[in-house]
Amino acid sequence: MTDHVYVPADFQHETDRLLMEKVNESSTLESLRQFLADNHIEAIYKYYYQSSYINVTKEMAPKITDMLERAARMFGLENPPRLYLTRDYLSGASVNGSSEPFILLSTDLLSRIDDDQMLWGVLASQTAAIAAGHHFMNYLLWIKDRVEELIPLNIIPKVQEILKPLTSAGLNKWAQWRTCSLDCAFYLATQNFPLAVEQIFLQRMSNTHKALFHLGKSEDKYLKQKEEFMNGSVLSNVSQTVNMFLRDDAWLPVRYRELEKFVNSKGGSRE
Amino acid sequence: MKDEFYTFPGLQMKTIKHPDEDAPLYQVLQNKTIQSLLEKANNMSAQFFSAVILGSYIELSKDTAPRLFEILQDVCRILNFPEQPRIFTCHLMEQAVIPCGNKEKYLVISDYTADEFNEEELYYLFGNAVTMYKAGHTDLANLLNFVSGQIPLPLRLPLLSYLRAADLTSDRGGLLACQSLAAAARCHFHELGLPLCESRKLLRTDEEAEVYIKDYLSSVKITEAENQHLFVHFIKGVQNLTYYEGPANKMLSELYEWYMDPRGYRRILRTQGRPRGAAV
Repeated sequence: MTDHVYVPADFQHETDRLLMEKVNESSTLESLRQFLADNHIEAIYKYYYQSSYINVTKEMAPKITDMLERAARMFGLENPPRLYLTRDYLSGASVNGSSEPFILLSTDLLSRIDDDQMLWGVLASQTAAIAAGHHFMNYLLWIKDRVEELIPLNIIPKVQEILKPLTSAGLNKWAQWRTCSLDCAFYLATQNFPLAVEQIFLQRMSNTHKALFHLGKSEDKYLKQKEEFMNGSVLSNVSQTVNMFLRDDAWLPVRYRELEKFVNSKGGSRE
Repeated sequence: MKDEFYTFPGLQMKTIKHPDEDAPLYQVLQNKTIQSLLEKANNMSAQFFSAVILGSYIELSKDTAPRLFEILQDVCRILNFPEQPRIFTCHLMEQAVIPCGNKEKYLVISDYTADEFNEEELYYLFGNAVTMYKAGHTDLANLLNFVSGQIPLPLRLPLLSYLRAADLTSDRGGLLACQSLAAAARCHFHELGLPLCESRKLLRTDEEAEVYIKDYLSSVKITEAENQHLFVHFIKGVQNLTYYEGPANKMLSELYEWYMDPRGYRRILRTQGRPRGAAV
């Protein structure tokens, strides 16, 4: 399994891929990257993370760093990414950074992972996100937020009021579909459909309840709700679409459906 | 489930309603703008359910959360509320249990609450939420959640005042559901910052809870007496007018008074309570 090297096209969701391509095609991107590096913006960004979070080292957790090395090989990265831990109840896992991308994992998420295969899948899918360039998008978003705090746009609330939802809608769309890419990467790394589904619900409900859902299996207790969401009325579909623009996390039934589609397209087994 | 529980087969809201609910409610409901906004808010609440709740929360059932399901079923029976709400769970910290919906009723319980709160405490939290449905509090809460910006200021203030009083009523419903001052107090002290693992050592019985609450409320009074500054009074007044929820210590104090009042909790238990299993 680890001998196979996956490229982003193997797991990236179509919408994520198109949006990332648009960003990467931009001629100003490379000069922007250089500008940010030359003007120490990246250094500030790195300092921000390195001073606030704990870096996981080989001495501290060899099992985790071994997994990161294996994941880097699997998704074609030259070096394994660094891993930082943060104590945050609401955040989960994310990738950040520019020239030296890294993974940020919350201790809340870590505390919910009770087996090695799940840990491997989470680390592998985040490594895949780096291979797909998601870290740089997140870096740009961080800069965008800082700039919005500083530039005079803030003193023209009306302009901000109009611009912010417009920029957010596009970014939210990317953030939602990129999650679907990560679900697919998780499946590629683990080749385990029920575990990949379980991963979608990892930080959504208590482990006690999760165990009784039999997620991803034929007796999956979530399927009824998934159908209810998918087969909603026209009005509820409109409501789903409007709400999609306002949030950056994908609907759970949509993630489930996209994962199913992906596994079927790969001829994978559901059980 | 505890056999010494009472149920309240004919329970009517007027018997437990906090008296501060009436005047602002009258003022709010009389207004035609509010009446049309109420309809709008209830429609939006239904749409919110079809998208956000179904899309990002997870419905629990008898199979996946038997303990929660049974407790909620029992609470509905105790409080004489026939429509058992659906239960959803999600990952949030701000509120333990949120009663939502209008025609379609559903409770949202945080994963943290489902894991950390014990049976008695869940009876209190669910009782609180079910009382909000039974008393119609959720309809007006929808107004604030969904069409807040469209409510004219002169109507916002009585609406907030009503919702603060409504919270005091739903605390009473919670106490009737759990029939344990200690459990109710633990939930309130949790809101105030005392971890459940600590409060369970300090407030094991109703007698212990009575002593602890009394001491706590005295200390609050002393602090208030030491801070008799005009500015403090001003801020307190602003809080009383504009906050959605009353101060946590005031809510505990109100519940404690109702518990101690011979015409309050004990009277309802005596006059309306039927031991579980007894013929109605």
